[in-house]
Amino acid sequence: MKLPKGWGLPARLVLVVVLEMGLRNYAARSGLGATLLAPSSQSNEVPLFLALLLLLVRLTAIWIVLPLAITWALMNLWPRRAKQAAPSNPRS
Amino acid sequence: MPWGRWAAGILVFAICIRFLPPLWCGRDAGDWWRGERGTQEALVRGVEEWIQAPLGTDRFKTGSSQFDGEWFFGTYQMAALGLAHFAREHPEAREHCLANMTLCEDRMLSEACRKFDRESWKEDAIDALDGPKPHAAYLGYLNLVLSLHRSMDPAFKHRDLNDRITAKLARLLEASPIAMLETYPFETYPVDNCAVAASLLLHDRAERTQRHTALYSRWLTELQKRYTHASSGLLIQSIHPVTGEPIDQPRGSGTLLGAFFLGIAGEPHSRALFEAGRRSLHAPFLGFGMAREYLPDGPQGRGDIDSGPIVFGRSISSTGFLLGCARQHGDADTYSGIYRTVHLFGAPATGDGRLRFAMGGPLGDAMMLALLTAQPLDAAGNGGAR
Repeated sequence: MKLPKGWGLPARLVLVVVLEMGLRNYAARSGLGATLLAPSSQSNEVPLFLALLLLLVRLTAIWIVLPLAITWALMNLWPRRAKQAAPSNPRS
Repeated sequence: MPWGRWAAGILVFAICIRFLPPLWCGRDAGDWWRGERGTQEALVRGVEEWIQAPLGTDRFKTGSSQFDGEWFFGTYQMAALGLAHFAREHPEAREHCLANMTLCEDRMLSEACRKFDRESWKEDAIDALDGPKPHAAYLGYLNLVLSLHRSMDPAFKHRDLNDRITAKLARLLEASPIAMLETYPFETYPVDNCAVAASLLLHDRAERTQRHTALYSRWLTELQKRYTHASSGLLIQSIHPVTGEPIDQPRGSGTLLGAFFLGIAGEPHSRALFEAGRRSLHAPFLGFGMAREYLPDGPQGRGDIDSGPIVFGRSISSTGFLLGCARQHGDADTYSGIYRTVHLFGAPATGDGRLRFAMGGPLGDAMMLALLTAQPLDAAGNGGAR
């Protein structure tokens, strides 16, 4: 699928957000994120990896994706100022 | 694209990076602070799902069977405190919350929940209520919930047990030469004794007596004189069980959890501990509230099961307990700042009308309920009721 020109960045940003939401909901339902609370955790490595991945993706989403999305929207969707037409000479 | 447009874009991005994350993470802080029913109720439902499920110690992975047992027990203790707070804030939900508090108490009294304490003391805390071993953490934390429930519910189910535990704790505290009870053999923590003291005060309030007032005054005098760090006002985390000499640093997790427990009983000394913690340990960063575990100018430790992970000196436990104390003592700014941190690292997720914290698990969700809904102390100190 080919995206319209200029929409590659927002599509990638949406992917990060979707990944964050998916990981967050899975972690909340399973309770695996709690492995980060125990400093000497000897739990298996998969929950710990997923919890750290969620943390990384979440920090990226909030600190990079959110500001980037707003900046992109302001620069691309904000109506650009139309070039003013040369004023006509009323005497002519 | 003209360079001016690029410069504007970079400027907007920089401003967004600085100001957007705290705004985004704090967007629900006002609802929590005001005690909006819908916001709080979603977390109540999430916690109720945990407490109604057949949990076991295998749910917790601390690497120590004793700590797994403590977290298992703590889940029900914090859930019960959170339900009591919610019932006080929304009296129309009182009956429902009291029923679930009873469920938590039954779970706390189960064999599985008593196991961690029994293995340490080599005797069962409930079977040995006439004995000399104090079981300060198990009995103190349990009795705090029982006394709080009793103060709210005339039809309270565990009245006799609450009387017997209260009598035991008061008897041993009275007899203790250091005015402190042991949590486990040769382990004594002032914070656990704050739970013991708060449970005695709540029992008095429930029974409209002043039976333990003199004992509490003596205990508080000793706490201030011997177990409080002179310059910072923080509680010493751990003391020698015979001499009472400090064997650990003054720390945030113990001080602020102690303040939280005393605040539940409406005890004014809670404010002194909260203010000491806020003054010495509160270290917000970029609009996100956080609290240190150790004094910034004192020796730094690596943390333990009480503090949780310590990152750049900030600990999860200190930060969380400061949140609860901030609501108890009407500090909206501190509460909002820490809520942003809770939102950022806790990662709340809503589904089916339930709220859970992705990084919480059963204990984290229960603690968040108790801390986010902590009740302000009123002027009369009647148990923190609004």
